[in-house]
Amino acid sequence: MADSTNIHPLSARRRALNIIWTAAGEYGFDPVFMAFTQDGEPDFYMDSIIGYVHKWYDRSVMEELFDTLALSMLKETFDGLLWIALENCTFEREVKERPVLSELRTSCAETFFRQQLTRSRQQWMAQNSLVYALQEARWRTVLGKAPGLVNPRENRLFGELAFHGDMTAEEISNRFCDILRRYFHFDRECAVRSPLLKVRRKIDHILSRALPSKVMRAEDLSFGASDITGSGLITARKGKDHLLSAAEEQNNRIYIENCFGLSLYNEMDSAQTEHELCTGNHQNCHLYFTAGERGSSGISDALIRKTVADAKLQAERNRRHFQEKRRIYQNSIRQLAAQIENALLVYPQPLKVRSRMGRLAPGEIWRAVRLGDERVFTDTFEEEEPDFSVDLMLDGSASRLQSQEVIAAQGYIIARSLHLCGIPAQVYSFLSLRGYTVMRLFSSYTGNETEERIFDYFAAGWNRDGLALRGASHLMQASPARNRLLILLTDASPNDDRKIPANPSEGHYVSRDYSGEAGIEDTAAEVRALRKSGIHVMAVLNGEEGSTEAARKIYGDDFARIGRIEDLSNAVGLMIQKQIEQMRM
Amino acid sequence: MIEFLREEHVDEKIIQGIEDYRRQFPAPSGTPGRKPRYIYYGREVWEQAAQALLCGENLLLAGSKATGKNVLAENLAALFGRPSYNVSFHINMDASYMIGTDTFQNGEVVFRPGPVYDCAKLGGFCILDEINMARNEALAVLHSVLDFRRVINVPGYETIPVHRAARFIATMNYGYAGTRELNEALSSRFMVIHMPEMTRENLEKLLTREFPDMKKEYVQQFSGLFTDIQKKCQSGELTAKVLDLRGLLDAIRLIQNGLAPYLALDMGITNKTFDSYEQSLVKDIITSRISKKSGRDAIFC
Repeated sequence: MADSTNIHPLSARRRALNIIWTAAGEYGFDPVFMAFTQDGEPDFYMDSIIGYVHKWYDRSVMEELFDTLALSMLKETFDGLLWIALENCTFEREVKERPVLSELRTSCAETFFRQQLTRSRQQWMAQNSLVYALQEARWRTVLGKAPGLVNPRENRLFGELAFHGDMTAEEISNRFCDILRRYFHFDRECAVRSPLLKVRRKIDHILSRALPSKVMRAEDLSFGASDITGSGLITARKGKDHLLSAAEEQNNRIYIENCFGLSLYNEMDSAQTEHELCTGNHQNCHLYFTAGERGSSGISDALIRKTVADAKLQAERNRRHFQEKRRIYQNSIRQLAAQIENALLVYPQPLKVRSRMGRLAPGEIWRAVRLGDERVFTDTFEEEEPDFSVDLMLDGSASRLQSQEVIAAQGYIIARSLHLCGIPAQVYSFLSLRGYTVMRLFSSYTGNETEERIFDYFAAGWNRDGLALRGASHLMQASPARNRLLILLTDASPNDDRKIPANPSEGHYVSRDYSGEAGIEDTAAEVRALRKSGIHVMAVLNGEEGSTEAARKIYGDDFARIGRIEDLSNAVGLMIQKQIEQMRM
Repeated sequence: MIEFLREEHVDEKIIQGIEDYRRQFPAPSGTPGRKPRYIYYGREVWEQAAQALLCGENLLLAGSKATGKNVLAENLAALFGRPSYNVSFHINMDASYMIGTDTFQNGEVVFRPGPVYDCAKLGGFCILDEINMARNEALAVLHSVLDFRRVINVPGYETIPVHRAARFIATMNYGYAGTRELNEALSSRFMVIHMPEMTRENLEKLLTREFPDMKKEYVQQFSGLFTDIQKKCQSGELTAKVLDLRGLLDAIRLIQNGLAPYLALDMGITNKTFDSYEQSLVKDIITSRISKKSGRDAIFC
């Protein structure tokens, strides 16, 4: 159980979360515990119980209790015992509202005994025999048998753990700590004060542990936190809101140029574009457009040389990853292309049909008079050309370091499928560094077979989504089509080290960090502005990255969350289909 | 219907207003009033809608799926005792479909009136269903019908004044594939009600009325099942495909006729999505509410 992310595939974890949320009747919170069966599927009953605990008992009291237990050396045992107690009282409380729960409980107990003889269960038992013995006793009683505990101390403990449904969170907490004190000499007050244990707690947070209990602390299940990895170009949040000197500005521009390639525009055009786009919340920021072309002069700075070498290495990794999973990805491309073609095919064809109503067709009147055929009118169905282009913008900030290969592959799949269907598409990534939001153009509308360049994608720095959207709208001016669709592969968490300048007219007297609510608000405003100018904006979120709530604030209903890479074609296909449908109006 | 409003504690003045209206505009002969299939629950919305119609306004009922837009529209027509005309909007909707078109009968070209024309002439309640499915340009013909002019211009024929009793109730859903924003010219001609999500309490009333012999504890479980799905849709975990009140009621009807609950709920709700992951989430909700062993006899008296 060393790497729990491998054991519980994303959809199983998401499903477990959903079972907990359904039971709690509340969404968005991250439960401290989740329960899985041996085969990695969500444990329906125990996950529901976790949700009901959240529903019935004061959250702060319960959290404090679990935090206290986490300080102990016997943490795993205590967690296990507490869940045995909580299962009982929560069940008693909820079953009044939900009669089916007693059936689910019985079935959970039966499953327990069915799986008891499997090897892994025996291993599990060896790891923590007390919790296991008491759990077994509990399920025995659920099935109407005697607890079957031989040891009198265990028997007594088991009896005491049968918490009843009328208890409050405080009563549960006090009684449980009292039990621990009497049976395990665990002193709550000492535990909270002990500095040694506090250190251990911190280490625990960092190290991933294997837990013997079926119910596991969710912190062990989470993916590696973003933004903490050592590679890449992460700079500390500087929050510079003063103007830089001309020399610093020049240095930064050279740095950006050397890292990412020559600008698409000469200095005058760049200045003009920035003058138009870097206003309001993005004042004093820069927009840098590049296709990654390198100048002929060599790079003297060692740091930049390393960055360029790292980028190359990442490009190789991206290509290798695609090659390794070629079968899946090619399949995705085929599927997506077929879906888009299908959407284009179901377009209404220009069709003039004879009809009993509509515009009178003089040439047909004789049919009515002579043949009694009343279909002497014509009805016309109009057709419009599939006149639209797609822009694909990849978030290239350091928060995506963990999934660069996958993002590059996703970008390639979409671009390639659109190319196969003859739809003009443009692909670029964006990231922000030293006040520059760099738009890296991989393939343009007219570029032929240039999708391969998407594998040059690499992640670094911050992401100033609002400014990037302005950059995207600038790039989309080149679109040959009347209708334009912008798809973002994003985690919907805008975050930049350059602050939003103060704006007293809107009640902001000091500058604000470009992150959290402020970042979301700004990005949402830019999305609205794009939509107003007739561009359809849609987003794809990968797996559990980013919050649904933030995505909803920014993109409204126009976003999709995909659990597996295989779902990408379907999600993007539906978006493009929606776009085609809207164009028909 | 009037009695029902009293049960729901709707303002007595509004009820009197409706009774006055009915006396002033008795139901036209030859258009028998239809008894609505379902009843809308929600006192505030009833008051808003009835008051607006009494004041001669047109109504736009905007809301997501399963909020009872069409049920309310049909209920209002029945309450005011007017014949209802239903126009389902679609992408190829045009003026001739709504107002009427030339047709050929007995060797000559004649005008064949459309539902909006009939409704305006007879003073009915016209339900413009999913009005935002049509192109805005196609709806321009309704402008003069809906605003103070209250006339219909039929090109090549006469101009028809709209009957004083006639009202127009549009429904719209946002977020469905194929829907679009309504333009300002049109939306300014309506009073707009944002239809609230159905509350659990109202859902229980609905289920009790629809299935009087369903046991109380199951009324609670089925209404809880629906609100669980509703919450999951609101939080973005499920798409609205499975938020299907019609589907739930149909499923319960199948159960009442003897089909096993899980099979019926699969047909009515779970299978409305074709994504296997979403299906598993819906099945989890069902498992948490309804026993696998329960059958018709457990659920109904």
